Amino acid sequence: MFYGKARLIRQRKLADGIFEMILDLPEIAQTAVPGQFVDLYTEDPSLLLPRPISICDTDPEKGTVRLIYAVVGKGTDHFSRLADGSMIRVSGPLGNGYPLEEADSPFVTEIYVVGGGLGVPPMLFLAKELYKRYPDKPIRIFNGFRSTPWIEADFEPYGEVFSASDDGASGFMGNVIDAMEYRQVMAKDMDHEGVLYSCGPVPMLKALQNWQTRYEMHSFFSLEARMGCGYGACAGCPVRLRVPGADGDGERLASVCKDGPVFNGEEVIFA
Amino acid sequence: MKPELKVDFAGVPLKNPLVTASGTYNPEASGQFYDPSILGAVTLKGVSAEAWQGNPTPRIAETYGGMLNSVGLQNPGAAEYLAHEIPYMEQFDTKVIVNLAGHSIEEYERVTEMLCGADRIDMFELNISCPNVKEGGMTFGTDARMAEQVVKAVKRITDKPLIVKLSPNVTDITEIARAAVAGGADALSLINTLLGMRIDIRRRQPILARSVGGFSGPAVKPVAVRMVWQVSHAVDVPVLGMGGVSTGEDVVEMIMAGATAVALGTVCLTDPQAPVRILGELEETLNRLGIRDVNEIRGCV
Repeated sequence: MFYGKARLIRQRKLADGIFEMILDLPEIAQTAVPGQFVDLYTEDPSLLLPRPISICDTDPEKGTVRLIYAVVGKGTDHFSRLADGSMIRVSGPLGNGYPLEEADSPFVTEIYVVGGGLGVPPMLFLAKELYKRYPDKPIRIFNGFRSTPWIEADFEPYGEVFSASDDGASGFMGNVIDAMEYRQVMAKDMDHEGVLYSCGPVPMLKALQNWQTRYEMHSFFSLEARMGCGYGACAGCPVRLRVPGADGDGERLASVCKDGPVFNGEEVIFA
Repeated sequence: MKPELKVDFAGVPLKNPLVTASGTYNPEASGQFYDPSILGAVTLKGVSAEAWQGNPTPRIAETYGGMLNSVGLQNPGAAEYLAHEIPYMEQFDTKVIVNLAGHSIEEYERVTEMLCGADRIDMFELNISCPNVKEGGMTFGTDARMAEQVVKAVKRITDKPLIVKLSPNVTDITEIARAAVAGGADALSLINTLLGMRIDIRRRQPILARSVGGFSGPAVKPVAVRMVWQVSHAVDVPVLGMGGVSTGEDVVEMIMAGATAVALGTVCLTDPQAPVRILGELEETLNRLGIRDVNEIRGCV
């Protein structure tokens, strides 16, 4: 676990309210796995709690970590104004990460990587590592945006990329589920198993949860939450999980920050 | 020269006065950032006889110099603590305080019965001051007669030293302090969080799902120092001071106000390695002020 100050090598604006940071963070670049996140801290007394940001990519050789985030409040606004060379207090890598090994089985012949909005960036790190591990398995990447994509070409080396946008500005007009349905219909190749990894807004994950029940597919969702400490000490970010039982399903609580943010998609109970 | 940091807290020797506050320390999670063996003691999060689900989300809101929480004592129950959390602490050389939660005297008794046989537990902290549960919690901590009754009931069950955690949400905290001591409290801890609220002005709704929550963090420190000072002069049991402590100097301030030990709470959430930093700062501050033994300055104000 790294905890300390890191240098902001470069920050740039990708689109309105969307920023990319490259941080000099060798400890995290060399140990993080896809689906994990970092906490960024301000030194402003009105913004004491850390902001969790998913890891978009790492470069273990250069020792850098790439983050893409949206300005959603005062904390992220503060980060978006930091100049290159600034020092930022960071902890990480935090959380569990995606179980890549779920795609090990020879029966898994297709891997789905589905991101929506700010859930797209962490899917890049995931797609890259999946491709390294399973170069022979087709990786189908579905990215959903509101309008023009602000990250797209980076995914191309790792699989077949389908982009969807609500307004049709680029790629398929509609949401990622529509794009996936379209792709399923076109391919008619549902006689095998797939694994689906996803990160995105709750309505998208809910829709995916419904969608996947119609196919032979294991799913893993990365959840977003309003966190307190970000590392499992404060019980601020619970998620309800389904526990299958002989006489009906039970429930248990887990921490999004520490036990997650990635959970078995079938188990997540959305409020 | 290293200043002497050892203190005796209600008969329990602590290697230094630093303790974690309930709800801000999790053995595995916090262990990623520091070794709890550096601390005088750790407090395990409030536990009830049966598992509690806690409150709906959002449970956390940020505010200038602090935060609000309405976690509501979510915990897996005493049996789970006996199976996991308590044995996990065997590997660490620090005292273990367990915070006890209940909705009624019977529930406080029940959780005490379940845990009092665990040797690894050095002390109990009776939580009669949580602002985030409907019954029990703060209702015991804001009524002197009920406070005395619940303390008496728990003391009948266990020989372990009992700390009673007090709420600041009262007119006169010394009245509740005296009642807890009359009931048999071996020590008092204060302050629990202040009842607070924040509103999302765009949605015209409270930020917290439960509307109100406990306010903690550096902004509450002057209130905490004042109450530690009042209580430590009103009773003759030792005080575990807490409330916004974020630096070594804050620890010295609490001890001068009358605290024997000092707990770190919100700072552990906003700076996960805070215990390491604050321990270093405490030694440095004592040296700078020419204080050779932390016991010299207790209650000097």
